[in-house]
Amino acid sequence: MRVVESLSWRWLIGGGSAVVLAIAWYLLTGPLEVLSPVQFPTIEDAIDSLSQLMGPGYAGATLWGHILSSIELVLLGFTVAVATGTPLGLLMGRSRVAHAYLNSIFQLIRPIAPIAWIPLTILWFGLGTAAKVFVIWLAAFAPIVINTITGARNIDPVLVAAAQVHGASRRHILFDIVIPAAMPTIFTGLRISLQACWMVLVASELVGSFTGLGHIMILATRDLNAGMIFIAMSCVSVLGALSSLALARVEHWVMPWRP
Amino acid sequence: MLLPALGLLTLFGGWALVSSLELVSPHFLPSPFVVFTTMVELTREPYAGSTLQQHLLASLDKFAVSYALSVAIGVPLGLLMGRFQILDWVVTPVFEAFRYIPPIAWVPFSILWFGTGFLAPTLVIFAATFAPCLLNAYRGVRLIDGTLLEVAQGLGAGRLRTMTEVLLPGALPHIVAGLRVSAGFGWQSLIGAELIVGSTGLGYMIVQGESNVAPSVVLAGMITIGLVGASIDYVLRKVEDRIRRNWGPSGL
Amino acid sequence: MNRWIGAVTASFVLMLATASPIAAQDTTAQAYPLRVAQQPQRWSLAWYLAREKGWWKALGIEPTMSMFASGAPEVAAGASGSWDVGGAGDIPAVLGAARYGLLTIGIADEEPAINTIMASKDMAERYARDPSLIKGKTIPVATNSTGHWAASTCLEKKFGLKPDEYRFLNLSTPEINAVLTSGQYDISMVWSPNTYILASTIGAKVICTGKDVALPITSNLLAMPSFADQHPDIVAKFLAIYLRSVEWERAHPQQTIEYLSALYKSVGVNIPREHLSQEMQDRPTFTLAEQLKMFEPGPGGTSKVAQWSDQVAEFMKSAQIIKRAPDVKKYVTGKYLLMIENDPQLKAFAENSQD
Repeated sequence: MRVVESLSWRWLIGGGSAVVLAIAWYLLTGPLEVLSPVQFPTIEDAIDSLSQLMGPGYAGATLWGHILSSIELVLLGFTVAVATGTPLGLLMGRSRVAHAYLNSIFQLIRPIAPIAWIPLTILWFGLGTAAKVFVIWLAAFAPIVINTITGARNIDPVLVAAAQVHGASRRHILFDIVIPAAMPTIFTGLRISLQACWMVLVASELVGSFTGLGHIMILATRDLNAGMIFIAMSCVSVLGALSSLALARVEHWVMPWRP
Repeated sequence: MLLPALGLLTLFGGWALVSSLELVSPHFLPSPFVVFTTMVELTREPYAGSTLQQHLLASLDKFAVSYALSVAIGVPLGLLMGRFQILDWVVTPVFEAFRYIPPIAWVPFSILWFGTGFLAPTLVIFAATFAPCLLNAYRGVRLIDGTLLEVAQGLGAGRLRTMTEVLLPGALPHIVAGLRVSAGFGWQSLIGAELIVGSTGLGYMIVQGESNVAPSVVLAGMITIGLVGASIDYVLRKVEDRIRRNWGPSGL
Repeated sequence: MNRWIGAVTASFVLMLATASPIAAQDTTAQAYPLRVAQQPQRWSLAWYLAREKGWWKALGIEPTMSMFASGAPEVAAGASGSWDVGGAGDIPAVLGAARYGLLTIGIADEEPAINTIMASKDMAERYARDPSLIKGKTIPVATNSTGHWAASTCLEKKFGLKPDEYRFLNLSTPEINAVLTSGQYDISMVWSPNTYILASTIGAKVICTGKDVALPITSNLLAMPSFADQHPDIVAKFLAIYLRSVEWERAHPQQTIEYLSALYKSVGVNIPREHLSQEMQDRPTFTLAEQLKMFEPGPGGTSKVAQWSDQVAEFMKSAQIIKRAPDVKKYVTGKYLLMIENDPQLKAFAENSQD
């Protein structure tokens, strides 16, 4: 009974503060004129921009075109990072030699902000998919590797020893003991890495691209079209939230034993 | 000792080899030696208006101000949200609405609101650093043993004393972990902001290097960014270790 | 236990205090703090000279300069009111006028010759001989710039291409240099001094300029409307400083090139000497008397500058950057030039060609 009561209070207060936010938006851009329409859209501007994006389109494509191209880049970069990062992390986590050799290289490159690579990748790969996927991969790679190493290391050695005594092959140990045990930590890495993907995606699209939500933002900035910026920002935010939700779904599916 | 050295050797040797054999044009990848001499030159001769140190200072200046601002607002707010449920309910929807906006996506509005001066990148860094500060302080408080609070109140500690002597120290290990994560995000977004709209700082220097087709300047800037990023992380890690040892519950 | 907390808090407070931007600024007594928006362009030389020669100080102004890579981000930043006066190409100037009433108060220079289409060493001649090769190409441009205008007019009038036969890619000028150097694209919009950088690094060649298609491309001197309302005297002084620099440059051509070289170096651009004299030739500037004529209403009631600006607005409408043209009578104004003309002291200052 208590729980139900406090839940409904929670929704009431939360909804209240969302309403306050919306009213503040209306007042600041409308009657109070604190923000000029060039600086922040009125609610009408935002709706106009949205309908333009849905219909004739803006910056070379409709909203769906931009969204699809952004999603494609994030998925590509993230997938490549998972496909390369987890094996490397497992290797570095389980083999002292590999760790000693690779960690120095890794630690040297890692602190360079992935975004700082953008100018160089434009020189190397141009502005197409390759350059963006490379930068997204760079950003997504490090958290995955670090967390996989931690996960692969913190495995009860008794477990591994017991398996060895019973004649388990290295492959068995890896797939049946190490990976399942490291899974929760690996997923922590994936969550961090997914957020990093969106951040770097926007940065690389802002710098130069044909389509994508970041592309809308930079063109709209140049056209002084605040409504478009607002819509593109909202889309990125919603997509970021949805992809996090999707990852949580996957996590639950992979590890049903965890709450 | 041997293997890590071998690793570094592979990295720099490979780089030197690729550039000296001209597998890629020097317009794309200058040799490590060229980059090193460029770095030394940059500390003496101004490039794009300032020397390397001045660019670095400009970046650090923006970073420090917005980071301090995030900490000063985020940590207390997180603590209070952890303590008082009403506040949690009020703030959470607003916080969630902003949380998934990548900090770099604030760049367009930061230009329209603040131009390209000091405040524009500051907004972007603030957007990057605020969430981890708040979330970790919040989590830190929520994980404090409830009986501890009851005991403190039972002993007659006032609200303020409970706050400063039970909540803050109890949550401190989490807070400091948050500070470290947040510093990393902040540094990264700062560079992004400067690349896109900067008129000072390391990111701006890199863009100018790109503009003049001087990849050695670009790389020198990247290396400086890496070194500073690593140092910030190192210092905060030391602080974190120290605090964990003094306050952290055993086994954390 | 409180020691650590104290130390951490104290260090943040310290960080705030030392890093705060206010602490870094020294206030010069009495001088009016003016925020000037500039670009790494030939006309920014005027303000560089003014600092060297003490002209700012002579009129009691303490300028803060902001450097922008091109006009579009500059005008975007203007929306926040982060600069008071400055210079930019006529396209961004009209964009600013359409969005927030940005004033055009003078002509910085004339520059159809330096807004170009460049092509790589290998392709330049082939494109020039057979423009149909350009069909289907992706062409980098900095959108909403004078270069954008020159490029699309060149493609239409000189090369006979329709807008749907090529594709523009929006990039900032630093990125354009990067993608041309890496060989990603072999044709692009480029303006000086980037033309010189690309000519010397990869041997790229100009295949069309705004001059070839007779566009009235200028860079304009600008003022924010609210600032100009409150401080017309400062705006006139700012303009007078620019005009004095024009006079000085004409009287000292050799030294001017030295200063231009120093200005470009200070933003990290190194340009060979012969290109610098080319730059001076390609981009004429105008004195008070000449500017007054350009802003004087002609027989049809509109000034030359107003006609040019309308032509700019027409292009921007066709490129769907703006929906309707702003009213030239509201944003093109010779008022501040006349203020100088009618103030003997300021006029003498603006027409003084000596140090």
